[in-house]
Amino acid sequence: MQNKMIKYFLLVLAILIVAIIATNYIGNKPKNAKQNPYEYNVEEFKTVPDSLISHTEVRQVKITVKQHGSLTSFDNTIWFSADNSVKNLSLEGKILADFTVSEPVRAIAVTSDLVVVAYEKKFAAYSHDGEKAFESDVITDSTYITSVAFLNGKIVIADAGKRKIYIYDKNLKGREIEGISGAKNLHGFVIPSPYFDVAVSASNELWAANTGMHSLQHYDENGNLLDSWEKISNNIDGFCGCCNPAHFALMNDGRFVTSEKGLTRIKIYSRTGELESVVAGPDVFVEDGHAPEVAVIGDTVIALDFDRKMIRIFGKRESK
Amino acid sequence: MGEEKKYNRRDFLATGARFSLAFGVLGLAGIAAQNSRAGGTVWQIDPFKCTQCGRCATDCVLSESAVKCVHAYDLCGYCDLCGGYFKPGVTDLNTGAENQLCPTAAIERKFIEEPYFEYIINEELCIGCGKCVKGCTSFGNGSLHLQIRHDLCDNCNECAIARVCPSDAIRRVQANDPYLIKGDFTASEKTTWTNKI
Ligand code: SF4
Ligand code: SF4
Ligand code: SF4
Repeated sequence: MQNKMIKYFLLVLAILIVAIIATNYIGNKPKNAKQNPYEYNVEEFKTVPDSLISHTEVRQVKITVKQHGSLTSFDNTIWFSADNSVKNLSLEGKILADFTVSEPVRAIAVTSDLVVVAYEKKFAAYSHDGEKAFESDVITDSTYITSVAFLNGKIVIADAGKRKIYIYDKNLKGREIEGISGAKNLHGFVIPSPYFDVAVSASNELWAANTGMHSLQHYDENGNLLDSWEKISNNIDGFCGCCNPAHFALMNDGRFVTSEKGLTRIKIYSRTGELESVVAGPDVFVEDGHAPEVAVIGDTVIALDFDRKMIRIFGKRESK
Repeated sequence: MGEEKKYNRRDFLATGARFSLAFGVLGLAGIAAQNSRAGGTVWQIDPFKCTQCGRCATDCVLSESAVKCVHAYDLCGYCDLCGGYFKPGVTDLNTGAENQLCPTAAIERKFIEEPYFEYIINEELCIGCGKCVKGCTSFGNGSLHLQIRHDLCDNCNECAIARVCPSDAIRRVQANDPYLIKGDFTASEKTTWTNKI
């Protein structure tokens, strides 16, 4: 009798232990995680009112790319570079030219006779057919080139490592711009991470994204600041985080197409910095992905989506 | 004022902050190395995998979590509008408690020079909740991140947080190199950045 009692007792005890272990195990499964008492919901910042969306995606061109590349537009075509390759594509995705270069490309700019590719610490120029014209020396050991553009026949290089812009003439003689103007609200280029873009407008204005200050700044060739605007805000009309806009391009009429990291999105701003519309909101990009580099052909915005490995083409919405 | 001039931004960014982090990490590495047997392993958070679920604050076996926020100053923008410090939508960027995101006011905001602010974690107050990390990752550079502090951690056989981590972000690392700190994009260990550009 006593033996039986002990057996029953041990059986109940064993069931109890198994139940406790099972509950604990199931309860601790990540997917059964309890409500986070420290939840910080950033979802509301990711939604964009439909009334603000001005573009719709019209085409995707798949690309093979291992390291983040760059893209620009010239003569209504796309020039795209990544790894050691440079490609000229039509808006329909047809390859018009294709050549290889000596190092992985970080930035590209094109004129009627030259394709300038920037590597990490130096740059080189090629003909549209891929014939090498010249190559610069290493700029400095801590140089980290993030953008290249043409200004009045000169080559403009943005160096995020040195937080400087260099302007090179035909003889590769350089001039430095540090973005220090003496004006009370300007402190040189504040580049906390490697996002430092430059672009030249159709009317030959050199603009730089001073990303740490969430500012777009217009300089002359001598480094004098001529104009600037900034928009600091967590809301859709501004730039937030440390390094935005990560990339930008200029439309023919001087408006800005900006691309942001953190909350990945592409927007259009007026010449004076008012938000006009959103080309693509965070919902169309990979969460916590890379800021897409952008280029413009007319009203069409072209984005290099490294996370999805494609060039994405956004056309203006009919109804807008 | 004179002091401020001598201690300019670039010097600050280039040397001071970097060294402060380096010394901090080296110091901790030293303590960790003492705590662990040579050749052993300890638990650590991969900051690139962590999704700031809050369980680092609630699931450590210690009454005060061994997880703390650390700051990779090299990556920080020293921004006025810090996504890790301020609640969203704050218009008046001041240190009022109502503006701060951190539930324990563990982040100190210090003016360096116009327009730079330094953000320092008071580890005594930090509970490892990751709220600031979420803000910094979503809106900023992700310079704030969570790490298991080996001067506090018991190095349990099975880390109670690793067991419940929804992102599989906690793994064993070598005890003589126990921190997974985000790096400087111009330094040689910039592999941490090359996946971001
Ligand atoms: S449990 Fe994992 S995902 Fe959650 S805060 Fe800790 S490391 Fe990050
Ligand atoms: S928000 Fe959380 S993780 Fe960040 S400092 Fe405050 S307590 Fe620490
Ligand atoms: S190993 Fe133990 S003490 Fe260390 S963080 Fe994990 S649960 Fe906490």
